[in-house]
Amino acid sequence: MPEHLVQGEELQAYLDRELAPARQVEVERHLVECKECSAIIADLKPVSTTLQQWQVECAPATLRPPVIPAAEKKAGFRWGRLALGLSGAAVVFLLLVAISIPNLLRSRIAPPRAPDYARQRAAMGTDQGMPTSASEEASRDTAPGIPAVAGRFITYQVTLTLEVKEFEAAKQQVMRIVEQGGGYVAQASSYETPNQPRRASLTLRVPATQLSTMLEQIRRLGRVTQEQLTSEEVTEQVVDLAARLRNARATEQRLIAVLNNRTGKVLDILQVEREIARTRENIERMEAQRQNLLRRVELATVNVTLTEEFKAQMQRAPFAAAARLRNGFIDGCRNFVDSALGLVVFLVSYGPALLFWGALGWLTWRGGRRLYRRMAKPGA
Amino acid sequence: MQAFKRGEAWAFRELFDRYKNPIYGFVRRRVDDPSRAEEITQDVFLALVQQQKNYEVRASFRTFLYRIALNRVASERRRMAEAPALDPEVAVGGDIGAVQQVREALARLEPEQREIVMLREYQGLSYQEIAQVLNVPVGTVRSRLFRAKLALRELLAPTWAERA
Repeated sequence: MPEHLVQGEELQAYLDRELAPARQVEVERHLVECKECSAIIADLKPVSTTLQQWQVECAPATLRPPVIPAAEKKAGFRWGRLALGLSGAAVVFLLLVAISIPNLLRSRIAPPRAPDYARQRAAMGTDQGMPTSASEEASRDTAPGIPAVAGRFITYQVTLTLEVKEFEAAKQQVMRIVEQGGGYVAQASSYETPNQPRRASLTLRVPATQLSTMLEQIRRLGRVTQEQLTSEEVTEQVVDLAARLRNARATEQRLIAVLNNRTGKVLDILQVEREIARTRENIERMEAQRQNLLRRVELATVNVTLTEEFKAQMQRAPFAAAARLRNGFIDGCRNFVDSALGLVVFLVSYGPALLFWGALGWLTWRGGRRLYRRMAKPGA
Repeated sequence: MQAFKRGEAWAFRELFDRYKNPIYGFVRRRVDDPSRAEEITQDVFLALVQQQKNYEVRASFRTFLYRIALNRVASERRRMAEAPALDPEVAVGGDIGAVQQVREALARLEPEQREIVMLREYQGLSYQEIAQVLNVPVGTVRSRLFRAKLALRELLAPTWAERA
């Protein structure tokens, strides 16, 4: 009986000539000796032959390659796309030159100066300057009411601390001023601690065009103890975003035109559609950034802190003394009850033992005294 | 293959001519309607063009193409919401009675076994290629094929006796 060194599935692989050459020889030798495996091989062989009886017709003559005609135009289309890319790059280059040259010239003519608080305040007062130079187009793109000081976009942030006599009235008045000026209160909180002046913190968003007027009105409510104005010029960012947006929109239009005049193969059309989707996503993202930036320019942030004028709290002392007396009395009562209760607990806990030892001691003392007296009698 | 990957039209046409019959046969054995089989075959080649950038030249083109075909047929089956069992009414060549018995025997196999048998017997794929198309180990292909053949032998043996 030959030893079974061949697995069953190897027999099918042997028939399909899927074994390694050395293994193929080994199985062949095994088959000479093993009748059982030879029988399996004999059974498996006709299965393939029978399966081959199921034949299907050839592909019909009407079956055509789906995109061959368009594929032949690929070379031409690639040139067209190259031309499109080059023209797009040229437009971007020209736009960059147009933006950068005036900036360079201006930087040579007038070197930047350090921020001047008074000058900025003055600028805020006359904030509707004429748009000029590189930011001209960006200024045109902005919504009405966006302040562009001499063609520049500036965000303002003011911190103002006031000491007021009538705290509540002043707080209400600040809110009224903001409301009348077209702004809103973004955040408000009040703090009140004993023996401390009351304090309110308000974050206001006010139209930059109304900033100086409103600050004047707020200042009149009390005594200014601290005031700080910081500004940031975002013209470059606004101009850059406007240019990138315009480019992206032009690219989108060109891609739509390519799609409308589609002559390329399906793959290219899908590519164009993907590009359109990507470009639109970019446009939306840039538009959101631009809107956010313009909102920061349009609305200045004013942090107002109102502090109540500190008054000596003499009238509160009697109340405090009465409270302390009352608290002392209550504490005294509590201490009395606690001590009485403690004594009772002590007696209950140790009373029996004390009674026993006390009685024993008393009896001993009495017995001892009697004995002493007897012994001390002269006749004893 | 490299010319095809570059998007050359002549390369694609050559591949189409070479593989249109095998792919049509592959689809035809799985889809009842000849015109639908033709459409699916065309879809397979369209998908091939769309996915040409995913094709790696060092991989087997045949397995790449059959994977696409398998996916298209699976989509078609889902669309038709039909069981993967074969329809006995499909028009075929050869001895009608013998073909019918073969199809019935195949229909009674487990789907995994049937796919392997059909890829091996009708498409002539190697074990390695079948493993790549179906994304299973080669050992699994070998064992399933062996079991499928034994089962087919049991199913077809009566017909051999009749014919003898």
